[in-house]
Amino acid sequence: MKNPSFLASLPALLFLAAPCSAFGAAEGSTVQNAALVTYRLQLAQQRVASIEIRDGAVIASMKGMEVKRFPVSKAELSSHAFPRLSTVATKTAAVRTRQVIVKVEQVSADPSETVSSPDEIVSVEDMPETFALKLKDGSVFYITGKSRDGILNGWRKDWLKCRVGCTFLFRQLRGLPVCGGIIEMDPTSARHLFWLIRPEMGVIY
Amino acid sequence: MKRRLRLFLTIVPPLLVFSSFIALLLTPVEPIPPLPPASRKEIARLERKLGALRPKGYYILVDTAANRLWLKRGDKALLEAKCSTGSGRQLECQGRSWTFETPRGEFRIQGKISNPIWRKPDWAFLEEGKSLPVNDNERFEKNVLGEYAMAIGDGYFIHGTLYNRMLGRNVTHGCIRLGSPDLIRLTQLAPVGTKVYIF
Repeated sequence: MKNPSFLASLPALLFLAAPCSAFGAAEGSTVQNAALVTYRLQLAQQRVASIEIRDGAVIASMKGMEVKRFPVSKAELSSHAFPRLSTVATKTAAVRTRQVIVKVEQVSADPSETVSSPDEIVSVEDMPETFALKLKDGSVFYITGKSRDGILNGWRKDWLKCRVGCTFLFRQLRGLPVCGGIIEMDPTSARHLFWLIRPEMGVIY
Repeated sequence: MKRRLRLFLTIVPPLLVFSSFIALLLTPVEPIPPLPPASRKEIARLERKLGALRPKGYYILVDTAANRLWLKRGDKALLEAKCSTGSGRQLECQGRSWTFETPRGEFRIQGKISNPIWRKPDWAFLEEGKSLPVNDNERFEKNVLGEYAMAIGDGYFIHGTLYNRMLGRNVTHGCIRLGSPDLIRLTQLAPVGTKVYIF
């Protein structure tokens, strides 16, 4: 347990323990295609964006049109025969995300400018590049930008990865047909994806 | 002291692990929906239905992460512009709080106003450390929203800005700010009723 690489490899081993073939919303048989189009249609009827996790990319869509694509560099994922539709239950960042709460007493009266300093805003740069995504059907995904920034953050990431792995394992033990996976992408894409994802958002995977 | 710490370390971590396992076992999960019927004819019908949901004519896309706005028609981008969207910060005052975020989802241009006058909401006064005005006329401010403002609903607008150097950053109170040339072009091209998709 002293070796952090063990922690890092544990979830991967857990995911690989599940039967593995093709992953995600792969287009194949008629049944698969029908499921995929039906789910896309259901999500297109909503007023908000949805995401589709596929082999090579995570795709954000609105009204049935692709609005943003996040290329995936590497994925270790458990398999399922047919595409599935679920919604986001929670997203958990490895490192706590920044919040800016201003109390009126702290505000300096400067009518010439509204917001200007980077300290006063929350932008996509403040988003974490490593996070866990839990869906309402029990499936879990660990999404990472793969860059290491210090020992402490490295440990936090490994801890989150381990939690995701354990959640996946326990749900499998409960006999739930859940999926899990580790998705790697470039840090910028990971931050943008975290920004985009909201609870209750539709997910096809 | 050492004994207490040892006792604490012996009891608490296993208890935490055990309770988290129990929590995991008890977490409710939604059942996976049954697969839909499958035939090539059915797929073609569904794809036609999906195609019908895509916007017809002009539509606007706003990426709040990248602070970019596109005016599109079909797959063709007619305008790509840097914009500013919500700063995401929270303002708290006397038990009231506001979160300055650009709303996400599907909206529609409900109307266009030239030379708009800003009716300052309560937070604008409180943010500047001022008290709320007694007279409503004190709320109106000219020449701060640019040449045009397009209402997209819920009190949010696409409008101009005095702070062009802030374009491309999350600095607004929820509205979408555009630079003057892009705002003029957008106002000319996008008719009332144009769908706005914010993500």
